[in-house]
Amino acid sequence: MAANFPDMKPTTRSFTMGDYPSKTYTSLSGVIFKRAFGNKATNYRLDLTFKNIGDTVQVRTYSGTVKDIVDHFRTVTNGTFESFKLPLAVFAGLYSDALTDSERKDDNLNPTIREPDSISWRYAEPPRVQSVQSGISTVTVKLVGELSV
Amino acid sequence: MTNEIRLAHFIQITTTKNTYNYQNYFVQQNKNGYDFAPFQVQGTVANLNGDNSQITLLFPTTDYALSLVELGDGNRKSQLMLSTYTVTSAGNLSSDPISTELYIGLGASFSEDTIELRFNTAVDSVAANFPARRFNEDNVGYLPLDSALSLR
Repeated sequence: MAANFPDMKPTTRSFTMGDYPSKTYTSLSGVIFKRAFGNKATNYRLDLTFKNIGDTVQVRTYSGTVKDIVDHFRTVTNGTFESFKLPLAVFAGLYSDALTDSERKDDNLNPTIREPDSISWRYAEPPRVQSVQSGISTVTVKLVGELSV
Repeated sequence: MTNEIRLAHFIQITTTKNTYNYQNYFVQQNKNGYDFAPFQVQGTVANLNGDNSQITLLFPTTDYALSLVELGDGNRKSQLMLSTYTVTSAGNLSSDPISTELYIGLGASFSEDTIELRFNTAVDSVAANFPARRFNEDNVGYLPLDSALSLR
């Protein structure tokens, strides 16, 4: 597993629950049969937007830079190949700052969004960088949470 | 109207070196001594002649799947016991399997991302021409050099 995603607070965050692996057979009569293939949900989605961040220089605390994300994607995770964990900063606003990372195992954050079903995150596609003005860009990151053995 | 079913496959593979237990439903768990492995079972065939039924275990190309092939000498010396269980909505296994089948290894094939382990049932049906006979010099004299036979 690759090193964590950079310590950056996103401007917007969209989380989509995973689902249990199953197949559906629809008979001619309209009766539906479903077969489950596993006992854990997978294919969680997390879309992050980092608006107006510096290309190489951090403009706010925990805003990070475009270079942080690009380097993480290119050299740390080898693109969409390797999985990684997400730091607390990515979930800013969802947790109490008073809790330490070890205490958070009993918190709702880890089992619901941060690593539900012990998933690990992976880039669903390469990050998109939109230039806003000189030295400032907006980055869109799409992640997929998958089960691993 | 909807009907749901949860099926779990439990396999016990005996190679020339050891016996390995895997199941494919309870992710990241050990269930009754069976570790999780992401395999699928496909291709069993039954017909009126009672011929051997063949199945294929499909694994992703992982280190333990490669080991299974190598330890079974290309999966030609492996034995497989395949049990199919139903799973309740609470995640419990049925007390008895729906079926338990025994197979012997036939070989393996590889692709860039999967490994197929092929198995066959150990016992074949007895056909009308059993025991099978072959042409040899004792019963037909000199054998032809090609397949052209004159049955006079």
